[in-house]
Amino acid sequence: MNSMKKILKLEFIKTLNYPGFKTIIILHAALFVLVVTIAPQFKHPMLKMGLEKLVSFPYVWATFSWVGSWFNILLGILAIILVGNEHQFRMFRKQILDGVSRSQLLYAKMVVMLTLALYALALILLSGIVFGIIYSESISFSGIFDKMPLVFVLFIQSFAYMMLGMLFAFIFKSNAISIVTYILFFFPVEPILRAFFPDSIDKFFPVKIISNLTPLPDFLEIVSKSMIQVNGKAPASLHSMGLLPDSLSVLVSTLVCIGYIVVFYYATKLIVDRRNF
Amino acid sequence: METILNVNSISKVFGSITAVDRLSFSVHRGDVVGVLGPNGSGKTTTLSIILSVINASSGDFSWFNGLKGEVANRRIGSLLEVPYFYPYLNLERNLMITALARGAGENDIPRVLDEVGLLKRSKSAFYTLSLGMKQRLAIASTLIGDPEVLVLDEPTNGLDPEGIAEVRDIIKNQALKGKTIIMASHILDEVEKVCPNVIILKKGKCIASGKVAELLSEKQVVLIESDDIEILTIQLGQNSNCKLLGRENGKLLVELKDNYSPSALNNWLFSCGISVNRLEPRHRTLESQFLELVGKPENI
Repeated sequence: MNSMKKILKLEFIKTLNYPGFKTIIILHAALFVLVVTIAPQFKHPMLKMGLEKLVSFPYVWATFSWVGSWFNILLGILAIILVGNEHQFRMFRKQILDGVSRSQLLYAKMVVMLTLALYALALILLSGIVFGIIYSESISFSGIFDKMPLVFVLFIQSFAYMMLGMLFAFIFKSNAISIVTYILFFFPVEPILRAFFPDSIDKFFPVKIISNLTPLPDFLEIVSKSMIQVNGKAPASLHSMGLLPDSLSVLVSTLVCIGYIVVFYYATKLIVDRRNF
Repeated sequence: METILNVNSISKVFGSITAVDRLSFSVHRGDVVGVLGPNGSGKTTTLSIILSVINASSGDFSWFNGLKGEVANRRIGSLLEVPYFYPYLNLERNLMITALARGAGENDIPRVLDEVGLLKRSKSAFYTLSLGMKQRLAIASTLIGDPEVLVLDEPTNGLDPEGIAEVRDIIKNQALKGKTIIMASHILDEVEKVCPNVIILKKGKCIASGKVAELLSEKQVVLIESDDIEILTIQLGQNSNCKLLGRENGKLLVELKDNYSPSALNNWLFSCGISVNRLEPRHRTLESQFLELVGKPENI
């Protein structure tokens, strides 16, 4: 146990001092904050009203989880770079020579990725609370916490992105090849593959499952709800208009996603155990 | 004497290439062993297997009576090929990573940096070092935690003559402290100056092993010229003190056993009724004997 603590300490020394790590984290946080700051200022073109409602309680959690998911790919790329650097500098080899086991190499990287997923969660939570307080007309306990668990799904989603990135980095070793194939896998490789399968199967593909964890909020319904008080009509929604595809529930998607994380882990472990470093 | 490393018939196959072929040897506590062989003879692959960075295709090995992998590696200071460090970290942090991996104290870092003359550069980033300094840092990292065994692969790579002498002194000092040292090199001189014992590899196989002094001694060689070289050749084949090495421009190259002098050979030939036109003592270097062993003939 003491040994694993030391391994984690060395992992954080090299990660936190890597200039690329700081750059990507700052970029990730800045892009997210920029988007969620600008978005509420836009007027909806049809409803002629602002999108502030999307960042008020309780809708802010679904909105921020969805927006946050756009930038998960950056965390996935960061995971690739952190693993790819070890290959590039041949430091996996050096660490094994110094007494780190192959399993410890893998666990240490996974702890870094869990920490990054926690960071993404904290970013969404803090921003959600701040924006929710600013944009909500009234604040209630249930208004704040009812939909908050949606944010924790983003934690699993970002971890899944990074686990998949790590798997690619172990397969291809090179940062450039891993990043390109990783992005291509999200689009268009998996979507093309899905086209060959029926709907009942294609919704279980990894990218589809991971993306479904943070679905596009039905912003039309959210915004038009506030109009009911004005004209008494039933709220319109993207779902009722058939613009949002039927997909698995968030709970089922989460469970399947956790299953994929386990698959990514075992596939990576298989490579790490057999590789000549 | 306690066996530190036991290697039992290890092989490593890369596609159609057999890099290591059923290699067996053992190293005892306090031994200083050189692993000698030309490029591509399997030295680095052998060391990589016993240090668990690559997996053997077959065979087995164990350190310290049954240990292998990370548990054994924490007790071994090792340097394989070129020095590997994080280029963006300074020397102190790079060595901190080694210390943490090995479970050693971080307070050992100034000592080892001082030992290799890099203490003043402890805050410099690794990428700012010269090749020689990088090699010295790699030596320093092997000394972290004062391990009982050192495994060094071409430790003087990239060093200038002064640096080579310094590294050699460091290794010799470690040997004097009673450490077990395994050092691979393709340079005979390097091994001969540091290691009393040697394992000679060729195409992944052990072709000779034992004391350097016994395997590669500077034996007397003579060049003999005679009117009838064929009779001379037949006659020399009957002398157990002589070993025919070959011909050079119509003359015979002959190795003499210890304590058998060129004049004794001349007397013996005369007693056999053979007169020689020329009998010239030649110096046969360790290098030429080594090259002969690994199959590269060299003009003497």
